[in-house]
Amino acid sequence: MMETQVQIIIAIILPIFAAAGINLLGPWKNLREIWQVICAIGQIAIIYTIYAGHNAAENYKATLFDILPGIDIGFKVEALGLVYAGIASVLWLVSVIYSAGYMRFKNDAHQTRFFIYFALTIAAATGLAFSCNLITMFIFYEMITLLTYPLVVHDATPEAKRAGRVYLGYLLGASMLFLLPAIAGIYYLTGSMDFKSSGLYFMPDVNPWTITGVYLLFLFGTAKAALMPMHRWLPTAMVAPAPVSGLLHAVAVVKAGVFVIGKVTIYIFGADNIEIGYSLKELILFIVAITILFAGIFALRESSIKRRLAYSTIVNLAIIILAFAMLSKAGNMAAAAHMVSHAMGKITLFFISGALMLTLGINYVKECNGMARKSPMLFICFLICSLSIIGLPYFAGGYSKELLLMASREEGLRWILYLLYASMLLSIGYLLPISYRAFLRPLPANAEAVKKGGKLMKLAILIGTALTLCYPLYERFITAMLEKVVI
Amino acid sequence: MLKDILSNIPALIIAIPMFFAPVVAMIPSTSKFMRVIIWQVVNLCIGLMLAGATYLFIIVYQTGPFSYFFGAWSPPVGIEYEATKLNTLLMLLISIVAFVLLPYARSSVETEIKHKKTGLFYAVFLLLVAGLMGMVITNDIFNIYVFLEISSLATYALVAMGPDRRALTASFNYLIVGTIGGTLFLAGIGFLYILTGSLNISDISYQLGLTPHNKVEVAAVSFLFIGLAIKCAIVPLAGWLPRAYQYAPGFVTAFIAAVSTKVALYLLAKVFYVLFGKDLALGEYAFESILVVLAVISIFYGGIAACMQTDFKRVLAFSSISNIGYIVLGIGIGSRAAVTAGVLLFVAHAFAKAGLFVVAGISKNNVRGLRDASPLLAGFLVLFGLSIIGVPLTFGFIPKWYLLLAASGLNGWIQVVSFIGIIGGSLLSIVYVWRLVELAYTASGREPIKIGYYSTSTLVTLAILTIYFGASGSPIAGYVSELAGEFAK
Repeated sequence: MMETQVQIIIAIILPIFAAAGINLLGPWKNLREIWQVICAIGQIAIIYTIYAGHNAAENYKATLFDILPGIDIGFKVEALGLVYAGIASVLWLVSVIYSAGYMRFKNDAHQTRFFIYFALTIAAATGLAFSCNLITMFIFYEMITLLTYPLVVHDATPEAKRAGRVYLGYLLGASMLFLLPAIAGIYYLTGSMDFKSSGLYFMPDVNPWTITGVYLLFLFGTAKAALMPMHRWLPTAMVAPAPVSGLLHAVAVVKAGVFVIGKVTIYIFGADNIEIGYSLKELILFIVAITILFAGIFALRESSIKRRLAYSTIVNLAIIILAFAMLSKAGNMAAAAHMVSHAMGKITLFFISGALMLTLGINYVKECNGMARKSPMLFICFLICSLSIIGLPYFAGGYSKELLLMASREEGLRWILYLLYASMLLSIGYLLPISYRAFLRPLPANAEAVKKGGKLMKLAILIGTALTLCYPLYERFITAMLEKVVI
Repeated sequence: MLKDILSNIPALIIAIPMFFAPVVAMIPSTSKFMRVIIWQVVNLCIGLMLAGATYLFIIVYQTGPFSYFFGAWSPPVGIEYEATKLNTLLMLLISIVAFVLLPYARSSVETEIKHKKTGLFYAVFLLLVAGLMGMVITNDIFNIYVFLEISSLATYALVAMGPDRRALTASFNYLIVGTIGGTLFLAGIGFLYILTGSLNISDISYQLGLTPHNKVEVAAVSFLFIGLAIKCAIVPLAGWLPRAYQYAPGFVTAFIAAVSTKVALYLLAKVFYVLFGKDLALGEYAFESILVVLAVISIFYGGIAACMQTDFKRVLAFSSISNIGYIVLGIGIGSRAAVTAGVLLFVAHAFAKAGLFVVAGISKNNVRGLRDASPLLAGFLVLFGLSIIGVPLTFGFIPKWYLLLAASGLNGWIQVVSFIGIIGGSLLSIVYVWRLVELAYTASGREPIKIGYYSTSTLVTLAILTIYFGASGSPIAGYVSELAGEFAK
């Protein structure tokens, strides 16, 4: 049995190794894709091994570099990180299958480069998942930004370049402006930057307003979590190819943002232990609630399917932050569950939107009329995932929203119930019209024929839908994993 | 014999380049073979200086600081050289940068300098190094002025040798401004001599403590400050810097950008901390607020101007002004962490900026489409650029971290201004570095550039230093923090 430290290092190095292999196998497309699938399965296996061998009692740390006294680059296993790394590895496999289909269908010129950055992003995400202190977390957080930049500007159109600049400007700018000072502030207030299971020790004489201020710096500094007004990069980055949008908006980038917030909430502020008073906590929750409502309203105005999905992502990210910001065990649990359920549903929705664009030429909602007759499978999957995102019971999203409601009741925050109802109504408003038009409106007379091909894309979409649909079957496994989050 | 040499190293380290300079100038440089010989001799000279600086560094590291009396005349009559932790570190830095850049000089000088002037070029370069070393090691303020003039005159000549004709006006401009700076510095020395009748810095400092403070002292510190501010290129006295850096030969720019202004900044710190004492200069004469405000203005002016330039070298030059601002901020705050940050930035910025100017020199000052021309060069651009921004795992992160810590320990408006400066400067550095990287990676269709082995070795060494100290900065940060504690008492 390998030691945990070694396993973590392997989990981070394996995708880098995969990227090197992709580079070598570039000219032979089939070999390259088989190699990627093997690596992705290997990644899932190694994450599972870490999970199986994880024992909260003996938590070893693997230190790579010792930058300064008290500042090092090191890794440690903890439950929330396992959840995030698990999502990343499973969805990497699905994304690889989908991207292979997508890129071949499009006959893209720079496929190898695309897959290399894809794999490297997974490496950075795994590093982020297991980071043991704020500085390691910060480094990998920035790495994800830099590594996904070439993916956003992949098409190299002027529009893509402009989007790339907005992307970098928001993410790097916010992290330098707010996140780094927040980290320095934590170091100044507590003298440490390590993630501790019960949170760091704040002096009793530290003003609760100061702690709230630092927490808000974290919330706005992680622009990847797209809390308003830091959200604008996300719809803009929609010019990227569909697999990237899937990766950005379901796994690596946005989940990295909420994961950072979760990790900081649990292991720095120490969800249950921190005392900032009821009114300050409600202030934070109100700030998050604004995003939930307004992003939902903005989504209604968008006519492009991908941009609409992007705003829906902003809403769901804010819901996850809301759950973390309740600063309770039940809240953390709900947040982690929603991270999982939303990731699976949303990545599939993005996959479908990419497939719709390629095979049927659909970019906008109004173009969906009657299209279900042409491609029933895609639209049935779209409907299932939409229902999960909306939060219908017995779908993945339903379970996590239920946990959230229980958590809010425990904390005595009744208004969150109404907030969630409102957001569900809004999400019905912006997601279901697509299915309604596709299934119930007549097909326009001049509709073009379906382009053949894209079997791999459809396979990935089916896997994604199955993961969403079968959630009740493995719900117990996820819950068991999540219960470890609450130490 | 060996013992005599070792005990006289503080003098030899200045004497060696002064001896080699005329020798190099006399070697005829008509054939390629002879030019290689000249280059080898310069290598030998700098190598000897590096050995001497390393020896001094180790001695001070092991047994602590010591003084050396020139000709055995003890101060205040004679000239005193001193080896402290800080100045041996700086001497080591100067000789390392010179030694590492020399391989690049081979191709840079061959293409940019007229062949018959190669010998003279290297002679002047050696005088520049001698002047810089002298300013750092001596403890006699008039001696500092002499070496300041030696190094300045050498710099004017080197800048004027640039391949572009505009180098002449850049050099002339620098000469006028630099001479005014030197004169003001001399006037400051005059006031101090009137007050104390001494030129030895420790002696002046001691005597100033005996008499009540007066207006002459204020005049002296002001003259010294403005004279040095010109040499340091603190805004608004930094106008000479961009043009001098832009038009000088590639090798010269890389060297002076890496160490010249750093030596002037060291003198500034020495005037404030040692000559007048921290409490007097920063506290009573309010130089803390003056320096912090000027520093933040420098950071923003340099950063904003760098974002608006179209010329590669000018972006780097304005970025230097911004980074000088960071060092001045460290000196102005004056706490242990702040001085640590300043000294670490001397080193980190020297490596990164030297590397960037070498990239600029090799790419013929054109960053557009650099990836197509040479992926290796584009990679170095990204690495050194990240260090300038201060990304963790590069050397540039460590000083920024100490500066943030130093700013956290402040109070009142100075804290707010410092934070705005540090964070604003970092944001601006992201913008101007990213502009360069984007140009290098998005434009395409450029002819390949061939880089020689010698130039590559320069870049690789600088890159290794940047990454090594970035990944394991504990030893150097610990040592610098220790010496900062002694220096900024």
